[in-house]
Formats: sequence, structure tokens, C-alpha cells
Amino acid sequence: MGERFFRPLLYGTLPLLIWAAHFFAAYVLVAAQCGAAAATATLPSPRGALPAMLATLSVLALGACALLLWRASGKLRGAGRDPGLLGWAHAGSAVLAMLGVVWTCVPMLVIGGC
Amino acid sequence: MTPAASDALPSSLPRPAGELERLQSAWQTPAGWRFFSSVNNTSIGLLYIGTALLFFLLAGILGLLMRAQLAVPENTLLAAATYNQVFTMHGTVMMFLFAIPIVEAIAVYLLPNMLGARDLPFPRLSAYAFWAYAIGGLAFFCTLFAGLAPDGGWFMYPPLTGKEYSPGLNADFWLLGIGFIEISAIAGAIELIVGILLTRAPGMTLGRMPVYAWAMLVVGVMIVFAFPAIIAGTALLELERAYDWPFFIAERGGDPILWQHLFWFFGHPEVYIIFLPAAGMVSTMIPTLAGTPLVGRRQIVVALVAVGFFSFALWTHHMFTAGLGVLEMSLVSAASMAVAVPTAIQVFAWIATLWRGQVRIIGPTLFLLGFMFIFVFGGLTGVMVAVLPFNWQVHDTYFVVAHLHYVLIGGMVFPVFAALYYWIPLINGNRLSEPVARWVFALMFGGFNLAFFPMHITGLLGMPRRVYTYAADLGWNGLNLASTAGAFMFAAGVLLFVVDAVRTLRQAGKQVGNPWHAATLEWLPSEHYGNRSIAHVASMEPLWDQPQLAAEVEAGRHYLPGSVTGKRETIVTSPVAATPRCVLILPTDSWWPLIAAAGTAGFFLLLTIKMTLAAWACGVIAVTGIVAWLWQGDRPAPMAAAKVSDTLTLPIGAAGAASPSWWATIIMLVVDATIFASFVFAYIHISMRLTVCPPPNAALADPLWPGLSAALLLAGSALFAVARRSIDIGTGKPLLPWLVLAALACMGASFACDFNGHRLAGLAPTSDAWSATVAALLAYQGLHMAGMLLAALYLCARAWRGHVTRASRATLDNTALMWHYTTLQGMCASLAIHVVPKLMG
Repeated sequence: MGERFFRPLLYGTLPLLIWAAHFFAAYVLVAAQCGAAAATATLPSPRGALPAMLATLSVLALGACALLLWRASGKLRGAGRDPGLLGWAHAGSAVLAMLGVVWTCVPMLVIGGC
Repeated sequence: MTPAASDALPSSLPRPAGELERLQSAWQTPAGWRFFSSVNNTSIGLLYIGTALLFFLLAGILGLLMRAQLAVPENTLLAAATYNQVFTMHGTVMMFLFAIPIVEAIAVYLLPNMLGARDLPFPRLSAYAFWAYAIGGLAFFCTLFAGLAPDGGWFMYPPLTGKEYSPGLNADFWLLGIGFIEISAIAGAIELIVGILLTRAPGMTLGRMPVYAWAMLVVGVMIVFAFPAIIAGTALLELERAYDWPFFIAERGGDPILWQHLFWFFGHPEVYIIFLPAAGMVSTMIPTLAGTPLVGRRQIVVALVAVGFFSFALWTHHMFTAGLGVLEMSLVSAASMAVAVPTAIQVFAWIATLWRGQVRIIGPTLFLLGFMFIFVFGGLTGVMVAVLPFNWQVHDTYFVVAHLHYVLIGGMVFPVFAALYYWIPLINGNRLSEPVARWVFALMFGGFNLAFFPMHITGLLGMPRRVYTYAADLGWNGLNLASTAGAFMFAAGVLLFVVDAVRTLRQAGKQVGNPWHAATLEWLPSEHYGNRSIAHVASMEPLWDQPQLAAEVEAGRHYLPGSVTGKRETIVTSPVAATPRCVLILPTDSWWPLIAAAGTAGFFLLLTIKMTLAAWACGVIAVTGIVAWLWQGDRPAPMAAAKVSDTLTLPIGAAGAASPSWWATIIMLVVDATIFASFVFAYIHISMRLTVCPPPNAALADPLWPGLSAALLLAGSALFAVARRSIDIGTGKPLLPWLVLAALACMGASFACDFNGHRLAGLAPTSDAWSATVAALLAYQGLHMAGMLLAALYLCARAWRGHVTRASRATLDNTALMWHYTTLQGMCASLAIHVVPKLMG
């Protein structure tokens, strides 16, 4: 009784949630700024600001993933005994999320704008 | 296990006289024609698997028809229109009636035993999901014989499938039939998620849970988030076809691309929804066949979860030629490559396990090796088609047909056949023939590669998919003939397997035992009731690490060795540590799920052919069936607590977050919210195409009306909270129905305000797509009002009959959750409708 479920769930998947937030925010931003409506309607920001917005978003996501990865690796190193599935899940998802965010950033660097 | 440890087993010997007979009596499966009223996971699981395999054969025959037609150029075996129906039904039946159902079916059959549960927590829901699928699916397939089968391709793109270009009923059958079958799949997913989280054997922590259960948990969650998009999409397209609401008609502000977004937001995760269970099965079989623990078990679990996440970012990689922006496509292209990483982690872990162990080359091993070869090849071509310029070249060619068959047949059919070879002994103790297995594998593996490898080349030579014939001078003749020969070779392998399976299942039953020396609990001695006692699990490979476990379980030395209440029971454990929490009384066999499923299928199918009166009669039967089945549940337990071992006494039943029904309701509401989010997405997508929002001749409702509506919704929720509280404090039983009815009046009035606001604003859903999306949001809220009306009346009836008490309050608690959700949804809908035009300026 009284067992926590959602906190470990969040702990194990937080890096992947950050990846998801970064990916979908980037996609929505690009779709909104580069779509037909952006040329004619009053949207929150002009197209010229898109690279800066994407860069800010990506730096935040990469920073968060790096922080989580650093904490997870510290915990794995410091664990006197087996860190269990949750410890590995946190570290593993941090590595994969970091990779995912970096990968998402590549087209932003190469293409630059709409 | 040491004698000292053995003495510490949960239940001691000798067991009381009559304990086993009482357990058998509670779980007895009805014989004869009453078998079809059975809801036990073993019965339903086998029916489910059998039906899914039947659809595999039927869709396979359609595939053979296609290959026969394409064997030679300018063939006249099938007319163009017939060919359109055949390839549409081949894809649709394979994806919706075979691939998804078979993975759920195997899970329904295997998981309870693998987890150490007596059954899944909602056996009647499993039965309902199966019967709805079986009846609806067979009726859907029969449309072929009347020339009414859908013919717009398995992903049904408008405008081809709009009323103008598909005026017949064919597309309607797809939209209503598949939409309804998806609801059945979601019901199955809810059952699996709750079952995996709450009915594991004591001690089976998440860390010790079999990888297959992990895979099914991830898949269940993926279904919850992916399938609502297709339900919303089919609802919108059917509304367009039936009532001329122009969501996808470009001339009236609609956008056919909207359908593609909704379809593929479901369709791409679906590929992984099909693959991950197969991967879970592979991760379960390989350690057994190699005789060594799985290498990188934890990494595989993380990879499964990561694939679940990444798969939702790939939907537009099916839309690279649809005119999306370069950066949008590139983001998805990058995600398409990222998903290869966690997938590769699993493949390397399997190879490492095989490398470390002593592999027995038997039937299941052959199919697992075949799977790895074919799936890795399909994965590589998947990375190729994720590259934009290459994708543009091969889009809609036979290269894509080859790729998707390598992924789906390699990634799912071969593992399923391995699973059938591996787990069929559970049914009657007999193994499939090993010599025949080699023939089956050779025919299927050879036939598959002969059929589909040449398609890469035909695709690169420019042959488009879905053409019913081709000219003789294009250089495709030999390749097509080879593909056809391969397809028939593959079919011969499947036929041989069917013959061997029938022969095996007709043999006299014998002791199942543990023929492969597996480590997982499904190989414990098992009957209709599952295991005699529910095992205490202490490791990741319980049958390897606890060699006496089978004998102990069979002797009744673990938990719940009998039926305490004389009814069907299982133990509910906590979701992370699997600590025993309570005893759950499970519903028994009943005809109501079958009746409700037949009514539901009848409603959708008859509605499609415009037999409105008969359709509504079926709808009434469905609702009656569901109410009758639910009415028998949620009653006070015959006793407050049950002794499940020598030292452990658990409460019977639970309320709130400890109750499986609470979890099921929460998951159902997540599905609901995701459908709603899909409608909101449609509204935003259409709005973003406008230069002026709202468009000319359309207007927003006066803010007074949504404001009033929100106030009434909040008042209704407050009244419902008071009603719930009146049961908490135990003084308000007579008051409860009246409070619920007052809440219902508030909710009805709120909808009237919304409706009136839009009426006064001149909302005309047929005039333009923007108005249609507003009307769709309003209609979805109206659907919830209707649902809440039924739920409130049902709750009042139970209250008046004295069935709502502190000891039987699940109906009240779950209705409260749905009620508050409806309030929240109504307010969000109003907010979205009013905020988006403001953002658009």
C-alpha cells in the first residue's frame, strides 16, 4: 500500500519526454512559421526569428538531457549495489534521448530556415 | 531451494479437503454450445488466435489473387475495379484484422499465465472485444462477395475516398467497420495494461517482469495514444461522406493532407505496435532456445520504451511527397533514423544471447533466425526510404511494397510462427512436427524472399504499386513472374503448417510439462483456473532459479490455493513492487458480452447500409447487453477479507486508485482525451490554412454562451462531487440520485447554451471546413452528454436499488471521473474554438 507509481514512471521516462517535447515543439514551430498562413496572418513571431527560436529550444533540450545524463551516470557510478531497472532506465533513456535531440538538431543546422 | 526456504512457502500442507474441487468448480469452462458464453482468457484467447489466423489465411488468398493477376503482363484474370477491392481488402484485413488482433490475442492467452494471474482483470471486456472483432470482421470481409468492399487502398486517402470519387458504400464499410474494430482493439489494450500492472504474481516486480509483458505494456500504451487519431479521422471522413461536412474538400477550405496526418499518426506507431510484441516474444524465446539468460535485458526494456516514444515522431515519413516543408520533413527523417538505434540494441542483444548460449536448431529457432535476417534487411531499406531524395524516387513504387513486406512479414509473421511452434504445446501438450517444421520454414523463407526481393528491383525499374496490370515491354515480366512463384511457395508453407497444426491439435492431450526448459511462468502446470496456487516470484527466471516451483505451485503451497469466496478470484498486486493488495472477484461466464458485441457490430454495419431502424434496434441491444453485464458487477463482497496464505489476509475488492476499474477508467479517459485532441488538431490545421479566421460567412459564438456553459458544467461537477461525498460520509444514500439528476440537468443546460451560441452565430457545417470542425467539436461534446445521460440514469437506477454503498462504489467513482472529464473537455473545446482565431489575428 502507499507505493508510488507515477514518480518512478516519470523518473524513468523524463529524458524521453524531453526529447518528445523538443521534437514536437520544433515541428509545430516550423509548421506554424513556414506554413502558408504565416505569410499572411499575425502569428506570434515572424519567420526570421525561427532559427533563433529553434536554437533556444534545442539548447534547452540538450542542456536538460545532458544534466539528466550526468546525474544518471553519477548515480550508476555511485551505486554500491545493483541500481535496479529504474536506474538503468533513467540512464539508458537519457542516452537515447540525447541522441534523439542531437539527431533532430542536425537538419536545423543544415537547413537553417524554412 | 533449501528445506528451510521450502518450509517458508506461503501455504502449508496438507491442504483442506475439497479445496481443489471448489476451485475447479468456480472456474469450470462450460461445455457444448455454452462454450461461446465463456469469458476465461484461455477460451477467449484461443478463439481470438484462431480467428486472427483465419483472417491471415483469407487476406493471404487475396494476396495470391493479386500475384496471379500480376504474374504476366496484360492479364485479364481480375478486372481493374475488382483488383482495387482485392488489394484494399488484402492490406486492410492483414493490418486491422490479422496483425493487431493476433498480437492482442496471443497476449490474452499467454499473459495471465506468464504473470501468474488466474485471468485478466476484465474477462468480459476481453470477450466483448473478441466477439465484436470476430462478428464485425467477418461481416466486413463478406462485403467482397457483394462487390461492396472498400477500394481506395488500405489508407483510404481522400479525395479519392470522398463522396465525389467514391459514391458507393464501399468506403463507408471501411470507415465504420474499421473505426469500430479499433474500439475493440483499444478495449483489449486497456485490459492488457491493467492486467500487466495490477495482476502480476506477488514478488514479480517490474524489474523481474518478463520482457514480453514489458513489450505488451509499451504496446498497450502506444495503442491508447495512437488509435484515437484514426478513430477521429474515420469519424471526420464519414461525417463528410454522410452529411457533406467538407473537412477534406480543398475547394471549401478543407485539406486532404489533414487525413494523412491523422491516419499516419496512427499508422506509423502501428508498425511498432505490431513489431514490439513480436520483439517481446523473441526476447522470451531466445533465452530458452539458447539456454542462457537474455543479454542486456534491462537495455532491451529501455529500448522497447524508447521505440514506443520515437515511433510517434515518424508519421510524416509516409508523406514525404505530399508537399510538406523541407525542414518539417527533415526533422521526421532524422527521427526515422534515430528509431533504428533502440531497435538495433534489441537485435544485437538477441545475437549476443544466441552467441553466448547453446542454440538448439528446432522449429522456433528456424523462424527466429529467419525473422532476424528478413527484419534487419527490411530495417535497412527503411533507413533508405527515410532519406528524402531516395524516398521521392521510390515513393508509391514496388520498392516500398518490398520494404513494408520485409518489415511486417519479417518483423511480425515470422516471430508469430516461431511463437506458434514454441507455445502450441501449452494447448494439449503436443509439439508440432520437427521434420515438417523444416519444410514449412524452407518454403516460407525461400518463398518470401523469392516473392519480395525482386520487388525492390521492379520498384527501382519504376513499377508503381496498385496497378492491376502492366505492358509487356517494360522489363518487369520475369521479376513479376518470380514474385508470383515465390508467393505461392510461401502459401504452400503456410498450408503445410495449417495441416500440421490441425494434426497436432487433434492428437490426444498429454501432460504439458516444460518441453523447452523455459524460465517463465506460463510453463507451470495449469488448468482452466490457471495455476493451482499463485506463485511467489523471486527472480527474473523463476523456473530456472526455483526448480521446485512447479511442484510447489501444483501442491497449493503458494498464494490463494483455492477459491475463498467460491467465485473466480485473483490477487491484485501493486504496480511496481507487486506487493499483494487485495483479492479481486472476477466475473463469470455470460452471454451478455457476446450479445452486446453482436448488437454493436449490427449497429455499425446496418448503419452503413442505411438500414437505420434495424441499426438502432441493434444499438439498443448493445446498450442493454452492456448494462446487463455491468449490472451484475460492483456488488459488496460476501466477506470483507480473505486469507490467501498461512499468514497473509487481504481485503476483498478495493476502491479508488487501488481498484482495477479505476485504472481502466483513467486509461479510457486518456483515449477519449486523445480523440478530442485529434479533433482540436483538425480545427487548428484547418484554421491555419485560412487567410481570415473565422472565414467569411462564419462567426464565433458570443462569449456569453460558452461562459454560461462553462459555469453550468462546473456547477454540474460540483453537484456530482457532493453526491460522491454523500456516500463517503454514509448519510446521503437517498439524496444521491437527486444530486446526480441535478448535475445532469446542469450538463444538459450547458450543452444547450453551447448549441444556442453557435446557432445564433449562424454555424453551418456544410458551408466550409472551418465551420465543420467547430461543429465536430460541438458534436463530440454532445456525444459525451448522451453518454453521461446513460451513465447518470444507470447510476440512479443502481442507487435506487441499493447497489451504491461504501462497499460497492466503483460505479459511482468511475462515473465521477467521466463526469469531471466531460466538464474539462467542454471547457477546453470552447477555449480552443475562441483562442485559435485570436492567435490567427
